[in-house]
Amino acid sequence: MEIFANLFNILYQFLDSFSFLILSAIGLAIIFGMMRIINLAHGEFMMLGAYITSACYLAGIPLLFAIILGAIGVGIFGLIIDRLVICHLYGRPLDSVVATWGISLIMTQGFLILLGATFEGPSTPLGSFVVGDRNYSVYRILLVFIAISLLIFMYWIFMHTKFGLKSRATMQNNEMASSLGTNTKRMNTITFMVGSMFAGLAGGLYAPTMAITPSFGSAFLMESFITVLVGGANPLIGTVVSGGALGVVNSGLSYLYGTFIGRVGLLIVAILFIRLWPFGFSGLIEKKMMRVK
Amino acid sequence: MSNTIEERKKEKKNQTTQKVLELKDLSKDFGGLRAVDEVNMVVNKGELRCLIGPNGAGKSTIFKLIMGLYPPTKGSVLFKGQELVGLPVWKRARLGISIKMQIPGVYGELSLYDNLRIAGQNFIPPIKIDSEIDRLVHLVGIENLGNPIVKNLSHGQQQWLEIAMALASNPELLLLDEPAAGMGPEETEFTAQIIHKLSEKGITIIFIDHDMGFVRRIAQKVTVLHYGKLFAEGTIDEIETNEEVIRIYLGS
Repeated sequence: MEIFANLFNILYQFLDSFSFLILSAIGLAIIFGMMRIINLAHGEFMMLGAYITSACYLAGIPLLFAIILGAIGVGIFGLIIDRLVICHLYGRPLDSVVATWGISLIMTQGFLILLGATFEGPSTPLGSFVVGDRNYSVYRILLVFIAISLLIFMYWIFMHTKFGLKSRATMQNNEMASSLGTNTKRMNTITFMVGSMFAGLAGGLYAPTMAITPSFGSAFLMESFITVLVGGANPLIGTVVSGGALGVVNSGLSYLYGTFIGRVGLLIVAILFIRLWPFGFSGLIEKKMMRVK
Repeated sequence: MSNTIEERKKEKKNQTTQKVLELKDLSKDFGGLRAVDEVNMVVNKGELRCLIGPNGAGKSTIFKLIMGLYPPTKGSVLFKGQELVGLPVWKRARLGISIKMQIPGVYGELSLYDNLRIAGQNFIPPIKIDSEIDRLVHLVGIENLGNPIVKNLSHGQQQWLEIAMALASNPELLLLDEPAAGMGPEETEFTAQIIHKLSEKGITIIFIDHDMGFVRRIAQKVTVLHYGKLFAEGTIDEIETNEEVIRIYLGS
Protein backbone atom coordinates (compact mmCIF):
# COMPACT_ATOMS: atom_id res chain seq x y z
CA MET A 1 0.00 0.00 0.00
CA GLU A 2 2.91 2.28 0.87
CA ILE A 3 4.53 1.48 -2.49
CA PHE A 4 1.29 2.08 -4.35
CA ALA A 5 0.86 5.46 -2.67
CA ASN A 6 4.42 6.40 -3.59
CA LEU A 7 3.99 5.26 -7.19
CA PHE A 8 0.76 7.18 -7.43
CA ASN A 9 2.50 10.25 -6.06
CA ILE A 10 5.27 9.99 -8.68
CA LEU A 11 2.76 9.43 -11.47
CA TYR A 12 0.63 12.35 -10.29
CA GLN A 13 3.63 14.65 -10.17
CA PHE A 14 4.74 13.56 -13.62
CA LEU A 15 1.29 14.09 -15.14
CA ASP A 16 0.91 17.42 -13.38
CA SER A 17 4.27 18.58 -14.67
CA PHE A 18 3.53 17.21 -18.16
CA SER A 19 0.19 19.00 -18.42
CA PHE A 20 1.66 22.22 -17.05
CA LEU A 21 4.43 22.14 -19.67
CA ILE A 22 2.07 21.25 -22.51
CA LEU A 23 -0.56 23.82 -21.63
CA SER A 24 1.93 26.61 -21.08
CA ALA A 25 3.82 25.82 -24.30
CA ILE A 26 1.10 24.95 -26.79
CA GLY A 27 0.20 28.48 -27.93
CA LEU A 28 3.83 29.54 -28.09
CA ALA A 29 4.73 26.39 -30.02
CA ILE A 30 2.05 27.00 -32.67
CA ILE A 31 3.14 30.61 -33.22
CA PHE A 32 6.85 29.83 -33.25
CA GLY A 33 6.57 26.64 -35.29
CA MET A 34 4.27 28.02 -37.96
CA MET A 35 5.41 31.61 -38.20
CA ARG A 36 8.94 31.76 -36.75
CA ILE A 37 7.67 34.54 -34.49
CA ILE A 38 8.97 34.37 -30.93
CA ASN A 39 6.18 35.75 -28.78
CA LEU A 40 7.81 37.04 -25.60
CA ALA A 41 4.40 38.33 -24.53
CA HIS A 42 3.14 34.74 -24.41
CA GLY A 43 2.99 34.78 -20.60
CA GLU A 44 1.04 38.02 -20.68
CA PHE A 45 -1.40 36.53 -23.19
CA MET A 46 -1.98 33.78 -20.61
CA MET A 47 -2.32 36.44 -17.92
CA LEU A 48 -4.97 38.20 -20.01
CA GLY A 49 -6.83 34.90 -20.36
CA ALA A 50 -6.73 34.43 -16.58
CA TYR A 51 -8.06 37.97 -15.99
CA ILE A 52 -10.90 37.59 -18.51
CA THR A 53 -11.81 34.22 -17.01
CA SER A 54 -11.77 35.63 -13.47
CA ALA A 55 -13.81 38.69 -14.44
CA CYS A 56 -16.41 36.56 -16.21
CA TYR A 57 -16.52 34.17 -13.25
CA LEU A 58 -17.05 37.07 -10.83
CA ALA A 59 -19.85 38.32 -13.09
CA GLY A 60 -21.63 35.04 -12.44
CA ILE A 61 -20.77 33.06 -15.54
CA PRO A 62 -20.02 29.35 -14.82
CA LEU A 63 -16.30 28.58 -14.73
CA LEU A 64 -16.29 26.41 -17.87
CA PHE A 65 -17.82 29.17 -19.99
CA ALA A 66 -15.65 31.78 -18.29
CA ILE A 67 -12.57 29.84 -19.42
CA ILE A 68 -13.89 29.56 -22.98
CA LEU A 69 -14.62 33.30 -23.01
CA GLY A 70 -11.06 33.87 -21.81
CA ALA A 71 -9.73 31.89 -24.77
CA ILE A 72 -11.95 33.74 -27.26
CA GLY A 73 -11.05 37.11 -25.74
CA VAL A 74 -7.31 36.47 -26.05
CA GLY A 75 -7.86 35.16 -29.59
CA ILE A 76 -9.46 38.47 -30.56
CA PHE A 77 -6.69 40.34 -28.74
CA GLY A 78 -4.14 38.27 -30.72
CA LEU A 79 -5.89 39.20 -33.97
CA ILE A 80 -5.62 42.90 -33.11
CA ILE A 81 -1.95 42.60 -32.07
CA ASP A 82 -1.19 40.73 -35.30
CA ARG A 83 -2.79 43.40 -37.47
CA LEU A 84 -1.15 46.26 -35.55
CA VAL A 85 2.32 44.87 -34.89
CA ILE A 86 3.15 41.29 -35.80
CA CYS A 87 2.11 41.39 -39.47
CA HIS A 88 4.87 43.93 -40.10
CA LEU A 89 7.44 41.58 -38.61
CA TYR A 90 6.91 38.33 -40.54
CA GLY A 91 10.27 36.85 -41.40
CA ARG A 92 12.06 39.03 -38.84
CA PRO A 93 12.31 36.82 -35.72
CA LEU A 94 14.70 39.08 -33.80
CA ASP A 95 12.57 42.16 -34.33
CA SER A 96 9.55 40.17 -33.21
CA VAL A 97 11.34 39.43 -29.94
CA VAL A 98 11.84 43.12 -29.20
CA ALA A 99 8.32 44.08 -30.24
CA THR A 100 6.60 41.35 -28.24
CA TRP A 101 8.80 42.10 -25.24
CA GLY A 102 7.51 45.66 -25.42
CA ILE A 103 3.94 44.35 -25.61
CA SER A 104 4.57 42.20 -22.55
CA LEU A 105 5.90 45.18 -20.53
CA ILE A 106 2.97 47.36 -21.56
CA MET A 107 0.50 44.63 -20.58
CA THR A 108 2.09 43.86 -17.20
CA GLN A 109 2.43 47.50 -16.17
CA GLY A 110 -0.90 48.46 -17.71
CA PHE A 111 -2.73 45.82 -15.67
CA LEU A 112 -0.86 46.89 -12.55
CA ILE A 113 -1.90 50.51 -13.02
CA LEU A 114 -5.48 49.82 -14.04
CA LEU A 115 -6.42 46.89 -11.82
CA GLY A 116 -3.94 46.92 -8.98
CA ALA A 117 -1.58 44.28 -7.68
CA THR A 118 -4.10 41.49 -7.17
CA PHE A 119 -7.42 40.45 -8.61
CA GLU A 120 -9.97 38.10 -7.13
CA GLY A 121 -9.86 34.77 -8.95
CA PRO A 122 -12.10 31.70 -8.86
CA SER A 123 -11.24 29.08 -6.24
CA THR A 124 -10.11 25.65 -7.38
CA PRO A 125 -13.24 23.61 -8.16
CA LEU A 126 -13.96 19.88 -7.77
CA GLY A 127 -12.29 19.35 -4.39
CA SER A 128 -9.66 16.73 -3.65
CA PHE A 129 -9.11 13.08 -2.82
CA VAL A 130 -6.67 11.17 -0.61
CA VAL A 131 -4.24 8.43 -1.57
CA GLY A 132 -1.98 7.17 1.23
CA ASP A 133 -1.40 10.19 3.44
CA ARG A 134 -1.50 12.85 0.72
CA ASN A 135 -4.19 15.11 -0.75
CA TYR A 136 -4.61 15.33 -4.51
CA SER A 137 -6.61 17.93 -6.44
CA VAL A 138 -9.23 16.52 -8.80
CA TYR A 139 -9.00 19.67 -10.93
CA ARG A 140 -5.31 19.06 -11.61
CA ILE A 141 -6.12 15.54 -12.77
CA LEU A 142 -8.73 17.07 -15.06
CA LEU A 143 -6.09 19.41 -16.47
CA VAL A 144 -4.07 16.36 -17.55
CA PHE A 145 -7.02 15.11 -19.59
CA ILE A 146 -7.59 18.58 -21.01
CA ALA A 147 -3.93 18.87 -22.03
CA ILE A 148 -4.10 15.51 -23.81
CA SER A 149 -7.43 16.39 -25.47
CA LEU A 150 -5.98 19.70 -26.68
CA LEU A 151 -3.05 17.86 -28.23
CA ILE A 152 -5.44 15.53 -30.02
CA PHE A 153 -7.55 18.52 -31.08
CA MET A 154 -4.45 20.30 -32.40
CA TYR A 155 -3.43 17.12 -34.24
CA TRP A 156 -6.86 16.99 -35.86
CA ILE A 157 -6.77 20.68 -36.85
CA PHE A 158 -3.36 20.46 -38.46
CA MET A 159 -3.60 17.01 -39.99
CA HIS A 160 -7.22 16.68 -41.05
CA THR A 161 -8.61 20.09 -42.02
CA LYS A 162 -8.12 22.25 -45.07
CA PHE A 163 -6.78 24.98 -42.80
CA GLY A 164 -4.24 22.50 -41.46
CA LEU A 165 -3.11 21.45 -44.93
CA LYS A 166 -2.68 25.07 -45.96
CA SER A 167 -0.88 26.05 -42.80
CA ARG A 168 1.51 23.10 -43.03
CA ALA A 169 2.19 23.97 -46.66
CA THR A 170 2.87 27.56 -45.60
CA MET A 171 5.07 26.44 -42.73
CA GLN A 172 7.22 24.17 -44.90
CA ASN A 173 7.63 26.45 -47.87
CA ASN A 174 6.16 29.90 -47.74
CA GLU A 175 7.22 30.87 -51.29
CA MET A 176 5.78 27.70 -52.76
CA ALA A 177 2.50 28.02 -50.88
CA SER A 178 1.96 31.60 -52.02
CA SER A 179 2.91 30.69 -55.58
CA LEU A 180 0.15 28.10 -55.40
CA GLY A 181 -2.35 30.81 -54.53
CA THR A 182 -2.48 30.58 -50.75
CA ASN A 183 -2.77 33.94 -49.01
CA THR A 184 0.10 33.25 -46.64
CA LYS A 185 -0.33 36.54 -44.82
CA ARG A 186 -3.87 35.61 -43.87
CA MET A 187 -2.71 32.13 -42.87
CA ASN A 188 -0.21 33.78 -40.54
CA THR A 189 -2.88 36.02 -39.03
CA ILE A 190 -5.19 33.06 -38.38
CA THR A 191 -2.29 31.06 -36.96
CA PHE A 192 -1.37 33.86 -34.59
CA MET A 193 -4.99 34.08 -33.52
CA VAL A 194 -5.21 30.33 -32.91
CA GLY A 195 -1.94 30.38 -30.94
CA SER A 196 -3.22 33.30 -28.86
CA MET A 197 -6.45 31.40 -28.17
CA PHE A 198 -4.49 28.43 -26.85
CA ALA A 199 -2.48 30.81 -24.62
CA GLY A 200 -5.68 32.40 -23.31
CA LEU A 201 -7.22 28.98 -22.73
CA ALA A 202 -4.18 27.85 -20.73
CA GLY A 203 -4.32 31.06 -18.69
CA GLY A 204 -8.01 30.53 -17.98
CA LEU A 205 -7.45 26.90 -17.01
CA TYR A 206 -4.78 27.84 -14.48
CA ALA A 207 -6.70 30.86 -13.16
CA PRO A 208 -8.41 28.81 -10.38
CA THR A 209 -5.10 27.38 -9.17
CA MET A 210 -3.00 30.50 -8.82
CA ALA A 211 -3.08 34.08 -7.60
CA ILE A 212 -4.31 36.42 -10.35
CA THR A 213 -1.68 39.14 -10.56
CA PRO A 214 -0.18 41.18 -13.42
CA SER A 215 2.92 38.97 -13.21
CA PHE A 216 0.80 35.80 -13.61
CA GLY A 217 2.55 35.07 -16.92
CA SER A 218 6.04 34.95 -15.48
CA ALA A 219 5.16 31.69 -13.72
CA PHE A 220 4.79 30.07 -17.14
CA LEU A 221 7.41 31.88 -19.16
CA MET A 222 10.43 29.74 -18.35
CA GLU A 223 8.58 26.42 -18.67
CA SER A 224 6.87 27.39 -21.91
CA PHE A 225 10.06 28.57 -23.58
CA ILE A 226 12.07 25.58 -22.45
CA THR A 227 9.40 23.20 -23.75
CA VAL A 228 9.38 24.89 -27.16
CA LEU A 229 13.17 25.11 -27.23
CA VAL A 230 13.66 21.46 -26.42
CA GLY A 231 10.78 20.46 -28.67
CA GLY A 232 11.97 22.36 -31.73
CA ALA A 233 9.99 23.86 -34.54
CA ASN A 234 7.34 21.19 -35.06
CA PRO A 235 4.44 22.15 -32.76
CA LEU A 236 2.96 18.64 -32.80
CA ILE A 237 5.86 16.24 -32.36
CA GLY A 238 8.06 18.72 -30.54
CA THR A 239 5.59 19.72 -27.85
CA VAL A 240 4.48 16.19 -27.04
CA VAL A 241 7.95 14.64 -26.86
CA SER A 242 9.56 17.51 -25.03
CA GLY A 243 6.61 17.87 -22.63
CA GLY A 244 6.99 14.16 -21.83
CA ALA A 245 10.76 14.22 -21.43
CA LEU A 246 10.88 17.44 -19.44
CA GLY A 247 7.97 16.21 -17.33
CA VAL A 248 10.08 13.20 -16.32
CA VAL A 249 13.09 15.40 -15.51
CA ASN A 250 11.09 17.99 -13.62
CA SER A 251 8.87 15.64 -11.63
CA GLY A 252 11.71 13.19 -10.95
CA LEU A 253 14.05 15.85 -9.61
CA SER A 254 11.24 17.60 -7.74
CA TYR A 255 10.26 14.32 -6.09
CA LEU A 256 13.83 13.56 -5.04
CA TYR A 257 15.25 17.01 -4.25
CA GLY A 258 12.37 19.51 -4.24
CA THR A 259 10.83 21.87 -6.77
CA PHE A 260 13.79 24.24 -6.87
CA ILE A 261 16.12 21.52 -8.14
CA GLY A 262 13.32 20.43 -10.48
CA ARG A 263 13.42 23.83 -12.18
CA VAL A 264 17.21 23.84 -12.23
CA GLY A 265 17.00 20.48 -14.01
CA LEU A 266 14.79 22.01 -16.71
CA LEU A 267 17.32 24.77 -17.31
CA ILE A 268 20.18 22.28 -17.55
CA VAL A 269 18.26 20.24 -20.13
CA ALA A 270 17.61 23.44 -22.09
CA ILE A 271 21.31 24.37 -22.05
CA LEU A 272 22.30 20.88 -23.14
CA PHE A 273 19.84 21.01 -26.01
CA ILE A 274 21.03 24.41 -27.23
CA ARG A 275 24.58 23.10 -27.22
CA LEU A 276 24.02 19.65 -28.70
CA TRP A 277 20.77 19.64 -30.67
CA PRO A 278 19.82 23.24 -31.44
CA PHE A 279 16.83 22.12 -33.52
CA GLY A 280 15.31 20.25 -30.59
CA PHE A 281 13.47 16.95 -30.63
CA SER A 282 11.60 17.70 -33.83
CA GLY A 283 14.92 18.46 -35.52
CA LEU A 284 16.28 15.11 -34.34
CA ILE A 285 13.18 13.19 -35.38
CA GLU A 286 12.73 14.93 -38.71
CA LYS A 287 16.37 14.36 -39.58
CA LYS A 288 15.83 10.68 -39.00
CA MET A 289 12.58 10.16 -40.86
CA MET A 290 11.07 13.16 -42.55
CA ARG A 291 13.62 15.21 -44.45
CA VAL A 292 13.50 15.58 -48.21
CA LYS A 293 16.66 15.24 -50.32
CA MET B 1 -10.50 57.98 -92.89
CA SER B 2 -12.38 57.15 -89.72
CA ASN B 3 -12.52 53.62 -90.95
CA THR B 4 -8.79 53.26 -91.04
CA ILE B 5 -8.46 54.79 -87.57
CA GLU B 6 -11.02 52.33 -86.29
CA GLU B 7 -9.15 49.52 -87.91
CA ARG B 8 -5.89 50.72 -86.52
CA LYS B 9 -7.42 50.93 -83.06
CA LYS B 10 -8.74 47.43 -83.46
CA GLU B 11 -5.38 46.24 -84.62
CA LYS B 12 -3.71 47.92 -81.69
CA LYS B 13 -6.22 46.38 -79.30
CA ASN B 14 -5.52 42.98 -80.80
CA GLN B 15 -1.86 43.53 -80.26
CA THR B 16 -2.29 44.45 -76.60
CA THR B 17 -4.44 41.44 -75.91
CA GLN B 18 -1.84 39.34 -77.66
CA LYS B 19 0.77 40.45 -75.15
CA VAL B 20 0.56 38.10 -72.21
CA LEU B 21 3.56 39.53 -70.43
CA GLU B 22 5.34 42.82 -70.74
CA LEU B 23 8.32 43.95 -68.65
CA LYS B 24 9.06 47.66 -68.69
CA ASP B 25 12.42 48.99 -67.42
CA LEU B 26 12.38 46.25 -64.82
CA SER B 27 15.26 46.54 -62.35
CA LYS B 28 16.19 44.83 -59.11
CA ASP B 29 19.02 45.71 -56.74
CA PHE B 30 20.31 43.47 -53.99
CA GLY B 31 22.26 45.84 -51.78
CA GLY B 32 24.69 47.45 -54.19
CA LEU B 33 24.37 44.74 -56.80
CA ARG B 34 22.09 45.32 -59.75
CA ALA B 35 20.79 41.85 -60.54
CA VAL B 36 18.27 42.92 -63.17
CA ASP B 37 19.00 46.10 -65.11
CA GLU B 38 16.20 47.90 -66.99
CA VAL B 39 14.92 44.86 -68.83
CA ASN B 40 12.24 45.41 -71.46
CA MET B 41 10.63 42.31 -72.81
CA VAL B 42 7.36 41.24 -74.41
CA VAL B 43 6.02 37.72 -74.50
CA ASN B 44 3.01 37.05 -76.71
CA LYS B 45 0.18 34.62 -76.21
CA GLY B 46 1.08 31.02 -76.90
CA GLU B 47 4.78 31.71 -77.14
CA LEU B 48 7.43 29.24 -75.97
CA ARG B 49 10.28 31.44 -74.89
CA CYS B 50 13.65 30.55 -73.43
CA LEU B 51 15.84 32.70 -71.20
CA ILE B 52 19.53 31.90 -71.35
CA GLY B 53 22.64 33.56 -69.99
CA PRO B 54 25.67 32.96 -67.78
CA ASN B 55 25.23 32.25 -64.07
CA GLY B 56 24.12 35.35 -62.20
CA ALA B 57 22.70 36.98 -65.30
CA GLY B 58 19.41 37.59 -63.49
CA LYS B 59 17.24 34.91 -65.09
CA SER B 60 15.76 33.43 -61.92
CA THR B 61 15.44 36.91 -60.43
CA ILE B 62 13.26 37.96 -63.37
CA PHE B 63 11.01 34.95 -62.72
CA LYS B 64 10.71 35.92 -59.05
CA LEU B 65 9.91 39.50 -60.02
CA ILE B 66 7.17 38.32 -62.37
CA MET B 67 5.72 36.05 -59.67
CA GLY B 68 6.08 38.76 -57.01
CA LEU B 69 8.42 36.83 -54.75
CA TYR B 70 10.69 39.89 -54.84
CA PRO B 71 9.50 43.49 -55.14
CA PRO B 72 11.23 45.27 -58.04
CA THR B 73 13.49 48.25 -57.40
CA LYS B 74 12.01 49.97 -60.41
CA GLY B 75 9.87 49.33 -63.47
CA SER B 76 6.69 47.43 -64.10
CA VAL B 77 5.38 43.99 -64.90
CA LEU B 78 2.23 43.87 -67.01
CA PHE B 79 0.20 40.69 -67.32
CA LYS B 80 -2.37 40.93 -70.12
CA GLY B 81 -2.09 44.71 -69.73
CA GLN B 82 -2.65 44.68 -65.98
CA GLU B 83 0.03 46.09 -63.68
CA LEU B 84 1.25 43.40 -61.28
CA VAL B 85 3.72 45.38 -59.19
CA GLY B 86 2.20 45.77 -55.74
CA LEU B 87 0.02 42.67 -55.98
CA PRO B 88 0.87 39.86 -53.53
CA VAL B 89 2.13 36.54 -54.87
CA TRP B 90 -1.09 34.63 -54.22
CA LYS B 91 -3.16 37.15 -56.19
CA ARG B 92 -0.83 36.80 -59.16
CA ALA B 93 -1.19 33.03 -58.88
CA ARG B 94 -4.96 33.44 -59.03
CA LEU B 95 -4.71 35.70 -62.07
CA GLY B 96 -3.15 32.80 -63.96
CA ILE B 97 0.61 32.87 -63.47
CA SER B 98 2.35 29.76 -62.25
CA ILE B 99 5.97 28.97 -61.45
CA LYS B 100 8.17 25.93 -61.05
CA MET B 101 11.16 27.19 -59.15
CA GLN B 102 14.73 26.06 -59.52
CA ILE B 103 14.92 24.37 -56.13
CA PRO B 104 12.21 21.69 -55.92
CA GLY B 105 9.37 22.95 -53.75
CA VAL B 106 7.47 19.70 -53.41
CA TYR B 107 6.32 18.54 -49.99
CA GLY B 108 8.61 15.57 -49.48
CA GLU B 109 6.86 13.71 -46.71
CA LEU B 110 3.43 13.90 -48.36
CA SER B 111 2.22 11.60 -51.10
CA LEU B 112 2.11 12.58 -54.76
CA TYR B 113 -1.65 13.06 -54.75
CA ASP B 114 -1.54 15.07 -51.51
CA ASN B 115 1.00 17.39 -53.11
CA LEU B 116 -1.39 17.94 -56.00
CA ARG B 117 -4.23 18.44 -53.54
CA ILE B 118 -2.25 21.26 -51.87
CA ALA B 119 -1.58 22.75 -55.28
CA GLY B 120 -5.21 22.54 -56.33
CA GLN B 121 -7.08 23.46 -53.17
CA ASN B 122 -7.15 27.19 -53.93
CA PHE B 123 -8.41 26.73 -57.47
CA ILE B 124 -10.55 23.62 -57.69
CA PRO B 125 -13.83 23.07 -55.84
CA PRO B 126 -13.52 20.12 -53.41
CA ILE B 127 -16.08 18.04 -55.27
CA LYS B 128 -14.05 18.13 -58.48
CA ILE B 129 -10.59 17.86 -56.99
CA ASP B 130 -10.07 14.12 -57.46
CA SER B 131 -11.02 14.16 -61.13
CA GLU B 132 -8.95 17.32 -61.70
CA ILE B 133 -5.89 15.75 -60.09
CA ASP B 134 -6.36 12.72 -62.31
CA ARG B 135 -6.51 15.01 -65.33
CA LEU B 136 -3.26 16.76 -64.30
CA VAL B 137 -1.48 13.47 -63.72
CA HIS B 138 -2.46 12.29 -67.21
CA LEU B 139 -1.72 15.65 -68.81
CA VAL B 140 1.86 15.57 -67.58
CA GLY B 141 2.05 11.84 -68.11
CA ILE B 142 3.12 10.68 -64.66
CA GLU B 143 0.22 8.29 -64.06
CA ASN B 144 2.63 5.34 -64.02
CA LEU B 145 4.33 6.70 -60.89
CA GLY B 146 1.36 5.74 -58.72
CA ASN B 147 0.98 7.52 -55.40
CA PRO B 148 4.26 7.22 -53.48
CA ILE B 149 5.65 9.47 -50.75
CA VAL B 150 7.28 12.18 -52.79
CA LYS B 151 10.74 12.11 -51.22
CA ASN B 152 11.11 8.58 -52.63
CA LEU B 153 10.76 9.85 -56.19
CA SER B 154 13.82 10.59 -58.33
CA HIS B 155 14.88 14.17 -58.85
CA GLY B 156 13.42 14.16 -62.34
CA GLN B 157 10.11 12.69 -61.21
CA GLN B 158 9.85 15.38 -58.52
CA GLN B 159 10.32 18.03 -61.20
CA TRP B 160 7.50 16.55 -63.30
CA LEU B 161 5.27 16.49 -60.24
CA GLU B 162 6.08 20.12 -59.68
CA ILE B 163 5.11 20.96 -63.24
CA ALA B 164 1.81 19.18 -62.62
CA MET B 165 1.37 21.19 -59.41
CA ALA B 166 2.05 24.42 -61.29
CA LEU B 167 -0.73 23.45 -63.72
CA ALA B 168 -3.36 23.06 -61.01
CA SER B 169 -4.36 26.71 -61.32
CA ASN B 170 -4.97 26.26 -65.05
CA PRO B 171 -2.41 29.01 -65.75
CA GLU B 172 -2.12 31.16 -68.85
CA LEU B 173 1.54 31.87 -68.19
CA LEU B 174 3.86 29.16 -66.95
CA LEU B 175 7.38 29.95 -65.71
CA LEU B 176 9.75 26.98 -65.61
CA ASP B 177 13.12 27.51 -63.97
CA GLU B 178 15.50 24.84 -65.26
CA PRO B 179 12.88 22.14 -65.83
CA ALA B 180 15.47 19.64 -67.05
CA ALA B 181 18.35 20.41 -64.68
CA GLY B 182 20.12 17.33 -63.37
CA MET B 183 18.19 14.92 -65.58
CA GLY B 184 19.53 12.08 -67.70
CA PRO B 185 18.95 12.05 -71.51
CA GLU B 186 15.72 10.02 -71.30
CA GLU B 187 14.27 12.16 -68.54
CA THR B 188 15.24 15.32 -70.43
CA GLU B 189 13.48 14.00 -73.54
CA PHE B 190 10.34 13.31 -71.52
CA THR B 191 10.47 16.82 -70.04
CA ALA B 192 10.75 18.26 -73.57
CA GLN B 193 7.66 16.28 -74.56
CA ILE B 194 5.73 17.61 -71.56
CA ILE B 195 6.62 21.21 -72.42
CA HIS B 196 5.67 20.67 -76.07
CA LYS B 197 2.33 19.22 -75.07
CA LEU B 198 1.57 22.15 -72.77
CA SER B 199 2.59 24.65 -75.42
CA GLU B 200 0.26 23.00 -77.92
CA LYS B 201 -2.56 23.45 -75.41
CA GLY B 202 -2.04 27.18 -75.75
CA ILE B 203 -0.24 27.88 -72.48
CA THR B 204 2.33 30.65 -72.78
CA ILE B 205 5.59 29.28 -71.42
CA ILE B 206 8.87 30.91 -70.44
CA PHE B 207 11.68 28.63 -69.35
CA ILE B 208 15.27 28.93 -68.22
CA ASP B 209 17.85 26.36 -69.23
CA HIS B 210 21.57 25.89 -69.75
CA ASP B 211 21.49 22.85 -72.00
CA MET B 212 21.58 24.25 -75.55
CA GLY B 213 20.51 20.92 -76.99
CA PHE B 214 17.37 21.08 -74.89
CA VAL B 215 16.81 24.72 -75.77
CA ARG B 216 17.17 23.98 -79.48
CA ARG B 217 14.77 21.05 -79.12
CA ILE B 218 11.88 23.16 -77.83
CA ALA B 219 12.33 26.94 -77.82
CA GLN B 220 10.79 29.12 -80.52
CA LYS B 221 12.43 32.34 -79.44
CA VAL B 222 15.42 32.92 -77.19
CA THR B 223 16.27 35.87 -74.94
CA VAL B 224 19.87 36.23 -73.77
CA LEU B 225 20.63 38.00 -70.50
CA HIS B 226 24.05 39.20 -69.41
CA TYR B 227 24.84 41.04 -66.14
CA GLY B 228 21.16 41.71 -65.63
CA LYS B 229 20.74 43.35 -69.01
CA LEU B 230 18.86 42.10 -72.02
CA PHE B 231 21.70 41.20 -74.37
CA ALA B 232 20.08 39.68 -77.45
CA GLU B 233 16.78 38.29 -78.61
CA GLY B 234 15.87 36.16 -81.59
CA THR B 235 15.27 32.71 -82.98
CA ILE B 236 17.55 29.93 -81.86
CA ASP B 237 19.46 30.09 -85.16
CA GLU B 238 20.01 33.81 -84.87
CA ILE B 239 21.23 33.44 -81.31
CA GLU B 240 23.53 30.56 -82.02
CA THR B 241 25.22 32.46 -84.82
CA ASN B 242 25.36 35.79 -82.98
CA GLU B 243 29.06 36.37 -82.40
CA GLU B 244 28.59 38.51 -79.31
CA VAL B 245 26.46 35.79 -77.70
CA ILE B 246 29.04 33.17 -78.59
CA ARG B 247 31.71 35.33 -77.00
CA ILE B 248 29.93 35.89 -73.67
CA TYR B 249 28.07 32.67 -73.25
CA LEU B 250 28.18 29.87 -75.74
CA GLY B 251 31.94 29.74 -76.07
CA SER B 252 33.89 29.05 -79.23
